[in-house]
Amino acid sequence: MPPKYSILLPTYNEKENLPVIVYLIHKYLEISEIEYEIIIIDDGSPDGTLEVAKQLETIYGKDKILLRPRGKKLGLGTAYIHGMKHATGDFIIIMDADLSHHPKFILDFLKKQAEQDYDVVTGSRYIGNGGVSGWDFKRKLVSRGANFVSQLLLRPKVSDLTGSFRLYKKPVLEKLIESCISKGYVFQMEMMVRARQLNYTIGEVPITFVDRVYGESKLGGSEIVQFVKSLLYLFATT
Amino acid sequence: MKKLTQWVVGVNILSILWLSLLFNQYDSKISKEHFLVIQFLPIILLIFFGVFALAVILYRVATFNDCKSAAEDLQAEIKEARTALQQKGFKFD
Repeated sequence: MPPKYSILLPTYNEKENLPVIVYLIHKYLEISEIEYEIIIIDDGSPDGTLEVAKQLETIYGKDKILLRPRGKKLGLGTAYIHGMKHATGDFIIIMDADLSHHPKFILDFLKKQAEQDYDVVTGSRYIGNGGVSGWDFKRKLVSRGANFVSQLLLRPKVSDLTGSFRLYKKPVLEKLIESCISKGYVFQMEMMVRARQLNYTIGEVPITFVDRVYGESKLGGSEIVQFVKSLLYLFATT
Repeated sequence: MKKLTQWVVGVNILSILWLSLLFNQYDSKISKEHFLVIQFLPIILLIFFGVFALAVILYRVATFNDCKSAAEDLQAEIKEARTALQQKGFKFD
């Protein structure tokens, strides 16, 4: 039997982006005859994301679109746990629902995973044809600087620690979430650091990161402070 | 061993090496002649590392792929998605 892929989409106020991303996932995966399901975990968005999701469920069918909303904003880490409980796939794909991650790369993830039967495949903006779009000098500098410091301090053997476009074998993700303590921003970094600790194999594929089209992009002073805190936390505890 | 511990051990080993160089200056000719350099060795190394780090980061910023076409392609696909979805009966506000 061919493997099945569960795509987790945590959403909060993504009513503009959600239909587009679902359409694109369908477009690229259906053509390659890949079996998949999309699990939408909406945290009570006030903008009506859930209503949009319901329309998509009607169009694409209940076997493709699974709605698993939660009452209020509870954070990314618990959204994955919540979504995974309902996932029936052999692999879990995690990506942002704001179109900064293009679904066409999922095919690259699948190919990479099959190459060496990797436990985790992670998207990287820093390798090969990967990159970013619409970033000014300051933002690139912050990104490269932060990456340099985290490579120096943590030596994770993964080029893009803070990226969140990833594929996991389902049992691997379950184990990783179990061993990760942090919530929020640190979570993505800790997952990779723990994966190394637990000797999971990690493959990397280049991805392009396009700044959000609708809505506000998040990179401010408070994000940088949070990043530094997370980094020091992982530096001292792993 | 935790990363923090690794660094503490590393810094300690280097400190011991440096201090022994510093205090055994009269035993060898080399350390006597280069006393000034030895004295400021930690600061010199730190500056060297700083310059190296800055050069690496700036090089990587300069070579950071700017994927202009990725954004343009996406815009086109968003239009495509909206049209296709409307045909399937999706209602945008």
